[in-house]
Amino acid sequence: MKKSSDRPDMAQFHKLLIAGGLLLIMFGTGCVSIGNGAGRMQITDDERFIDSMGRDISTADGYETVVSLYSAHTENAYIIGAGHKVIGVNSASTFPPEATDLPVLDYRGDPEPLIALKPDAVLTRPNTDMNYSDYIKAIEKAGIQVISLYPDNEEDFDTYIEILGMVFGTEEQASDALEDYHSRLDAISQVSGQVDEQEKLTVFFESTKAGYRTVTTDSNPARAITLAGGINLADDVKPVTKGSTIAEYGIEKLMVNSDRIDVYVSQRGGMNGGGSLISIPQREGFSAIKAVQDGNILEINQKLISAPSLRYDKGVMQLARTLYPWLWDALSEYDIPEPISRETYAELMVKVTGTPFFVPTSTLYYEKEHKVHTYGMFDDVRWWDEDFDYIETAVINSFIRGSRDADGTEHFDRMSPVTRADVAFTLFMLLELETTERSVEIGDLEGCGDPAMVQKLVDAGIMDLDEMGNFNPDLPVTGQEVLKWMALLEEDSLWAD
Amino acid sequence: MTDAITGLNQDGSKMLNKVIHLLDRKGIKRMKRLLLVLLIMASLVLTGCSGINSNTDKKALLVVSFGSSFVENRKASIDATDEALHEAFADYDLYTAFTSEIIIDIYKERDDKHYDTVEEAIERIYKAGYGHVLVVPTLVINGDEYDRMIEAIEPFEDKIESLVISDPLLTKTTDYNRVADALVSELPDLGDDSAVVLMGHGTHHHANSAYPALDYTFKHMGHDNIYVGTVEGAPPFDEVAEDIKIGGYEKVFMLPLMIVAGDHAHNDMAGDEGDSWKLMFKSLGYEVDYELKGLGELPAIRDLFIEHAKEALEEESY
Repeated sequence: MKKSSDRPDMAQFHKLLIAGGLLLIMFGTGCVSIGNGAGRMQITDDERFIDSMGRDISTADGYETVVSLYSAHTENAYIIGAGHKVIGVNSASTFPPEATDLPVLDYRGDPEPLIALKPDAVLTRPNTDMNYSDYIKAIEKAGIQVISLYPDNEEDFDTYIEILGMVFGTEEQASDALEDYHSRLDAISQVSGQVDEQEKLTVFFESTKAGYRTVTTDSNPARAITLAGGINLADDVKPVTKGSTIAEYGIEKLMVNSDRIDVYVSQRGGMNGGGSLISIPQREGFSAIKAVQDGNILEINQKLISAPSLRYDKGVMQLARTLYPWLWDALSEYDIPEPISRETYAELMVKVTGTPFFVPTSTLYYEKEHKVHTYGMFDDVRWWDEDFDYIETAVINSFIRGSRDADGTEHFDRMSPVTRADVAFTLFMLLELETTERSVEIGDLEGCGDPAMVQKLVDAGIMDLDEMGNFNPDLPVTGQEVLKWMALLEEDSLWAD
Repeated sequence: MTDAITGLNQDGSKMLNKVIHLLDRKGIKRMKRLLLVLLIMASLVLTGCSGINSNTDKKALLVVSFGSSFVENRKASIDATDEALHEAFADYDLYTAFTSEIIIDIYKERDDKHYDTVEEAIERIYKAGYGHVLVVPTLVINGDEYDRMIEAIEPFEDKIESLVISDPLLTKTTDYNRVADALVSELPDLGDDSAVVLMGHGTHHHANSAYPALDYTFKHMGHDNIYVGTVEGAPPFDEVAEDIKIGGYEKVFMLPLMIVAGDHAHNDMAGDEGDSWKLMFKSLGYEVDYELKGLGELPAIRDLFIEHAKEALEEESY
């Protein structure tokens, strides 16, 4: 007897169902999980390349105005010195900060606003190319060159950056940026290499909170764990769909391995990110996970750890700092008898507190008013500066303050020496000070910008006065003095959590 | 047979049973089946369009909250409030719903756990044949969430014999005094040098006026050191800080004016980054302390929701 499922119409129906189901899964998992590459990019000669969708593209005439519909393309364009040629971006392009001033285009909507910009080319990725084909076709019909790029693996990344260099005519800068990028990754790898095998920590990487998914072993986050000197707990997983970097893990396996997880890393941002520092410990059963018990949870921005970006080394670095702070946040270099600058102080404070680098995750970040400081808006601290992350993190976490003019321009004043007033601010912000009975008379209290803070620190015996009874708020402090204060605080267990 | 009629409205069910009984006596099996099918179909159509749940004692309590993806905070506030309300209305069957679809989706995707939207919950209650439904929104103000809840409930006004909706926390003038009293009773002992800041969510909705009104109420009741501020509405942080400065206080104690101590309480109030109120008050030189406790965790506030629900039922009975 023939079973009903063997009938040709039913078999066809089942195929349709499977195809539909797969499509649903693909959409459900969000952009980061879909197989990103339709094909491999290839440079065919000095002025020609094949993009990820198989388009044969010439750069002979050059592209002077380009719209980027993928945040990684936007970042990389700026990093290879082509930011001035980018004239429009997608809403997720929030780095560098100046990209947020550009017109925002939405490939899920009407293509007319993009066409009206009349760019020479539009940079996108296969994911968008395939899922929003009507939008892409409309652009191509308007005579605009569409270039779809996505490196499917580590090997393709260099080709991808080289092609970006060809598109923008900044081949040399692209080559230099790649060289620097690899040097930075090598440097991290070398330092991480100092960790003994027995001391290596095991990491679980949560890519999406839905189903507690992780990443495939050939993905950027998995590679980052290795580069940072960690062990990836999920070393035997399979992609949710072919070509995807997202892999199933699930609550059962997490619970079985709960005592093996030293550090729990959650990818934030994007459509379906992982959980937060607050929500993860609150999940049912998660208190059994060693990393949760020890408070070793790290939120990391998807753009730094998963995306094909020349900023990827920052994600790796962040992971390495979390795993082995003793390797990365050593303080001996600040043990100097000379006054230190505000930029050095910012770096020191981020290290001494072990604070993860701040990176905005919300695409709405720049739409909101930020009273303390807006990321990337100091006129003397730019995103390409080596100490950018330290200064931004120190200010966002209120370890040190910048200043703001009446017109809103922000300055950090990086080279000025750090003063006793600056240190008083840091200490007051970090400590949970209680008002004491003691009230020391401070001669120059009125000249202190934050008299209440200074008074409480002096009353608590944490900062002292000179022989004349003055606080001397503007007096520069040395690296050794700063370390002395920090050591004193650590000994007294006065750290704020 | 009984299973087949589950989900039909009460009038339909009774009529159907009578016909079946009659047919059983006469033993006309085929006709019975045919009629049964027709009646079920007709009853289903009626249920979907204009059937009224009446002549029944079945009572449902629907507690509507915004929701929270933070499991522990949800248990301590939302779940605890649900339980307190159910205890107070023990003869009602408890149903719950979240107004936030984002939070519903998080539970579904993350924990494979289902929470009803208001639409789903009221539909479920209706189909189960309840004739007396008490809806209790555990919301602070009559804002967007409340409006959306009413929109979802309204279509059932003519389908359920008694559909009663109680008020959010800050609705009538007397509510302000009661909420202020309840909050004052929950505050720790603080010295004269301490200002208390209650941080609400705030909204573009005209109901945002509830926040400055509550601030006024505290002052009018003699609690000059209690200030109400909001993250996304009025009064904003700057205005609260200015008032506290004028008051000459040295310390600030903060409490979220939100049902759940969730994301806003952890990050906007007590966070260690950016514009958290803790950091901003500290940077102004205040000693800052806070309690990460949602209003739903305070027994006095839960009692107010119960009172609101009782009052709504009393008003209905007139």
